[in-house]
Amino acid sequence: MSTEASEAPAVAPVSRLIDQARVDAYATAARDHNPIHRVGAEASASQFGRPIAHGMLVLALVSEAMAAAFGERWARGGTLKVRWRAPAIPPVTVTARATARAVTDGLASYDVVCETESGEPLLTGTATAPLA
Amino acid sequence: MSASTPKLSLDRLQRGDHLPSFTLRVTSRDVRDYLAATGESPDLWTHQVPPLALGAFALAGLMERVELPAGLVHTGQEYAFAHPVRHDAAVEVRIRVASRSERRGAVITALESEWHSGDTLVGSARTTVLVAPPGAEDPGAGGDA
Repeated sequence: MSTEASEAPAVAPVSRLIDQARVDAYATAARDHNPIHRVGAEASASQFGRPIAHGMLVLALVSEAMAAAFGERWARGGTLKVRWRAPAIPPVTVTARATARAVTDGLASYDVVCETESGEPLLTGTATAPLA
Repeated sequence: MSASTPKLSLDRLQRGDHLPSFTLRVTSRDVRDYLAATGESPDLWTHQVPPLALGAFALAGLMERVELPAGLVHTGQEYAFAHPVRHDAAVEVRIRVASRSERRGAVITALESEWHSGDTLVGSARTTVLVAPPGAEDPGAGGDA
């Protein structure tokens, strides 16, 4: 059964500065040492011409927003489906937003986006989480 | 977490191939460092692993085992989190090649993984990567690699 989007809990946006220091910290913490994320020759020679943030670091803002709204239910039935649209090039302030779409069979669904200060989408997709 | 066998080559993987499974054990310190890096508050995660952290560590385990070619772009990601995982719990990661296709010289590979803690399925993921042909300026998406 599907109901109005207004039945879905509001998900507060999460904004964060992603600078090179955060990217370096993430590389160490998440054990992702792809040189495309580090200052150096390989990143300079890439199609982006400079280091880019890990896509998973950008996606982490969406997970953070959903976890803040749903608590443990996020880990007990949450889903994410995203596509990266553009690289996050540090330093950049990224905002994750989740817009409610519907509540269906006890699942709240959202359109999610991470975007730059200028509104450029870095990733788009959907998220769902159980209401109970 | 370490890979003791030679890396597999992504371009030799075929649909239906299974990668050797491996076990993750995400410690409290791993969670603390992960959250410090992402900037998320640790308040929710004093006993449980943030589900996306599990995804990140599973992805790192994959990258330890598969040689990733230059020009690879992480274009899409799906997750289904089924059950919370406590700090230090053993999680077995099983990965198979779900699809592999070519489009205008670019090779698109989707890898599906399942995470098991004992007999419990705690989560699953689908990771899509694209390897652009040499000389391509626009890989078709711009995320991670």
